Amino acid sequence: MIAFKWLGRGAIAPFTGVHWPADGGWVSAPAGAPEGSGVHACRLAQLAWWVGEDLWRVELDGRIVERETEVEAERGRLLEPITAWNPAAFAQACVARTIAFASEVPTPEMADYVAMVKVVDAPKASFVSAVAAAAVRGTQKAFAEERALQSQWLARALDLREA
Amino acid sequence: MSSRVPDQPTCREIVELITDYLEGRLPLEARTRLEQHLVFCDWCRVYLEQIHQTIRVAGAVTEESLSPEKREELVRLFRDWKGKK
Repeated sequence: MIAFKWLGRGAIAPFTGVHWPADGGWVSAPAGAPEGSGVHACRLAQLAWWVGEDLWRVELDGRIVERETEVEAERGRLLEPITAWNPAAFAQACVARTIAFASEVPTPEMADYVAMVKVVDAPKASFVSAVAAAAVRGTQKAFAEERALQSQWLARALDLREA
Repeated sequence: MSSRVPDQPTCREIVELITDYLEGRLPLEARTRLEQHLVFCDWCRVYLEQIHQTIRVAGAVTEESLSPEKREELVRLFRDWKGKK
């Protein structure tokens, strides 16, 4: 299965500190590891939940579990870095979305979100924009929907495909 | 950056969950929410790193490795702390 993975500089996993071999070597979950301890990655529709420094196309293998915001596999390997990833462009798209929300509902709260989203990095801009969406729509569902729209933006801008 | 979104954890809640997270005791859904928070929250990432560092340093200290003076100082500090509680 082809999926995507956000990593820190040097292909280091942000939470576990695992160093992913850039030569395509497999990374495997420890034998008998409990559910949740496998190799984590995301589908295109889940990209925005995990925005990081570098994005990689990965191959997953073995038993694969699909969840709402991630996929987990027994093993995975890096295929290629997504060199088109441009955090500034993504953050700017989040700014534009937040400004649009604020013009729809011009409240002091929305003005705060606009002020904030303009000065933060891509992961924070993604979050702030989703919070603004939830504030405007008045539903929790809107938060996840905005993340989905952000993920679509990423897939389109970076010309990503799962096949 | 604390979240105002209802089903997203706040920084205060993250701090309360960090020990369980590091010990692998968090249910999967809570762990996912915590990690999604860490994606955008510098403060909580720094806090997590501080806890990691504390574990690395404190984990390397054994009773035998302490000099008698240091051991006595630790006992005194602990007694003072207990006395203030």
